[in-house]
Amino acid sequence: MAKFTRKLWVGIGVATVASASMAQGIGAQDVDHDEMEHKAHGAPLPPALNGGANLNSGEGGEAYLTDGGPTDTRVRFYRDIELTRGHLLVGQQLIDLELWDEALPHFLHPTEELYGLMEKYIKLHNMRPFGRELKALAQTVKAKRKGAYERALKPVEQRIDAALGTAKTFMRPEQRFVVQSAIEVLRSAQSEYAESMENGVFVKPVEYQDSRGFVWRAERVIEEAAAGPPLLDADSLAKVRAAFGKLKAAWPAPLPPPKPALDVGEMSALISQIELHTSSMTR
Amino acid sequence: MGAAAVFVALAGLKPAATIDRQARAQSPDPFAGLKEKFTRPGFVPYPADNAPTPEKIALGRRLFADKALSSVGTIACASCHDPRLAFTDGEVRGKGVTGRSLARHTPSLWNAAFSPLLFWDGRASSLEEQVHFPVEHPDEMGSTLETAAQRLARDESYRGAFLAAFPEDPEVSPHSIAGALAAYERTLVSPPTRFDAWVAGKADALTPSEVRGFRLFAGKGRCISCHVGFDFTDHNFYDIGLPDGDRGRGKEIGLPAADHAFKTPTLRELAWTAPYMHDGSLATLDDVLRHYEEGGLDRPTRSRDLPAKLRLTDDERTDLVAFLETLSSDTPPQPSTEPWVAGGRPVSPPPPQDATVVSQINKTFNPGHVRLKAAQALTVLNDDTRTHNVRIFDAKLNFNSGAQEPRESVTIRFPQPGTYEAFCGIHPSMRLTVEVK
Ligand code: HEC
Ligand code: HEC
Repeated sequence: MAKFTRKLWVGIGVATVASASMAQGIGAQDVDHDEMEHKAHGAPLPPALNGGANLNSGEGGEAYLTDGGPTDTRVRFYRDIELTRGHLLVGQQLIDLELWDEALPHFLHPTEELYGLMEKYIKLHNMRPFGRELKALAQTVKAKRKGAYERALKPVEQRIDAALGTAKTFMRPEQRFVVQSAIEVLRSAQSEYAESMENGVFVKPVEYQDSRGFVWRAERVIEEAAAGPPLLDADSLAKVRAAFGKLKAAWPAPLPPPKPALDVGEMSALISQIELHTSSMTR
Repeated sequence: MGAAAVFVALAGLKPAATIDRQARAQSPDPFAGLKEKFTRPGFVPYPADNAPTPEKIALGRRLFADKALSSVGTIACASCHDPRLAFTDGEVRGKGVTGRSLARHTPSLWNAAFSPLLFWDGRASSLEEQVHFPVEHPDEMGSTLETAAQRLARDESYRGAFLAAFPEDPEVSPHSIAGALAAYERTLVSPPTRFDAWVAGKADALTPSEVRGFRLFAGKGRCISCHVGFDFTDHNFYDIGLPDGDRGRGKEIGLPAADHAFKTPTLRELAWTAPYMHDGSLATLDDVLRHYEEGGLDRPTRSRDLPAKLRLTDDERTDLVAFLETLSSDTPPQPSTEPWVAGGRPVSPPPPQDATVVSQINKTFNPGHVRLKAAQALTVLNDDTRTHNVRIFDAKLNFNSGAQEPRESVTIRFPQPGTYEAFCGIHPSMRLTVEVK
């Protein structure tokens, strides 16, 4: 089941990225930036931008790690920041329900996996690190201490904001990156959602929760971009919002419902709609 | 000392790059003198009557986590000094059995073994003595050590553990509870970090930014005048201008000159011990630097060891914080496993000198151990730039010089032969042993 949906995910990735005009726009800028980065490390240049085609078939890690994904480091970084925020968000929702043990994986995942992916970029651009801050936050969750947790969250949020702020100075025009990254986050959500099920029932609540956090973040990111200079006509925005409304119905609560409200195919169709109707923002 | 002084003087005059080049031409390691001040000690001091043993330490660790020490069995030492949170509670002010907020912020216990006085205001003079306070504080554990001893003595496994830890006197008593807890706490030595590797000679253990941060710490920032030693504290008390009304050390020793002064905390493992300060008022290291830059409340008691005005550029601020962060472990800190931590060494004063005048200079008594003939008086002269004090707290003599300004001296007459321990109430790492024949 999970394998099947992952393939489907890749298929959509290739189709949409290849067809979207933004691919070219970002690709052109991307070369300079990536070249700079790779020169600095003496590593070979990455394969040319070709959507989700640079597949690694490695084991382990969250689904999106093995599914290829964006070759533009800026999009990848933005996506990973949002995935981190998604974990923290759903972790917070679980803590609000006093479900500390359920929340813990969402604080460990960013420290164990995502941060490692971002670290190179963080160092390269002299951003203030936040790996240890994330670990300190996870400790407060282990200790189940609300006060300590709330205090430890602040420096993490501050440094994430600052890092993204720096990263955004390389993203021009910004909206394109915002939207493309949000779509990547939605794809990761879909992957995790697919992972969480076996034979039509939820078997992995952590993955279900991951996908919830990711979708909530993607929506926030797009809403924030839409709140800026009007790049989206009212009609498209209404359609995006409607699609998010339907999409979010898949996660009625932080704990999985007895039966999935959406299947993966329906989910992917909704994500494609969001991508279609935000495409004007990427021009 | 010589090399460090030269370095600091240079740092005031020349841009950083020049120093680097000059220093490299002159000596292999421009930081050698400074590094010496931060070398790890190689032994943990303990009082002669409470030598650590593995059994005692194990018992202390168990007691530390046991809620039976509190009145209603809800609070252990570890409830506030949580080992998962680097022996803090992550709160601005913690709460004990009553749920009422405590008067001060819970400190981490790193390197407490090296602190001559305990608590923010130094009201306990040994870890053994300190144990009474939290157990008996109505809002912390709300019990007594007597009650706790009676409760523990009913538990057979505890009786066995006390027998193993105190074979000479295995009774479960306030004395043995305190002895075991103190022995355990002495093992809470902060583990070596990248900074220690750098001090030990691994030049690339720190990034250039972190080294620049250390330079600021030792030079322009003047942090080193109080945060010095491997544990980054001189164990003295200073008013650094935090605005709350707590009189701290001044209230404790009845000396207005020490009002608002609190013990210099260790700077080890800060990444894991926020928030900061005796009142828990500063949430991040950025906030701490902002406080030092703004200078805090300018009142007469504000320490003259603080820079009058500290102005840092954005880059300097980044460097200084980057340096401070090298004093923390990369993963949740565990007490050091260096072999010397479990061993220890009983504390002994330096050999005595025959002298009737002692000066207070650079926050030390010089000499630190004197021998007087019967009926000789001792004069203590403040040769320093700071306000000092002489305190003797002894059954034979209770003496308090009050505030002693630079150039002022006090003369002390001792009522009978014996050994007297004197210290400065403001800078209690200043110790003076007086033997009277
Ligand atoms: C309810 C919370 C709480 C509990 C329980 C508690 N402490 Fe503390 N501890 C504090 C606070 C707050 C301070 C600082 C108080 C002050 O300085 O006035 C402190 C200070 C200390 C210090 C001084 C550290 C230093 O560097 O000066 C030591 C040592 C210590 N505690 C050990 C213990 C031990 C041992 C126990 C158990 C017997 C214990 N504490 C229980 C809150 C607590
Ligand atoms: C005059 C002595 C002195 C100097 C100079 C000094 N400090 Fe401090 N520092 C203290 C004292 C005392 C405290 C605790 C004050 C309180 O809680 O009221 C403290 C607290 C701190 C803390 C909080 C630690 C904790 O666990 O709460 C940090 C961090 C710190 N200092 C860093 C620095 C830096 C960086 C500098 C140089 C810019 C510096 N200090 C200069 C004496 C000093």
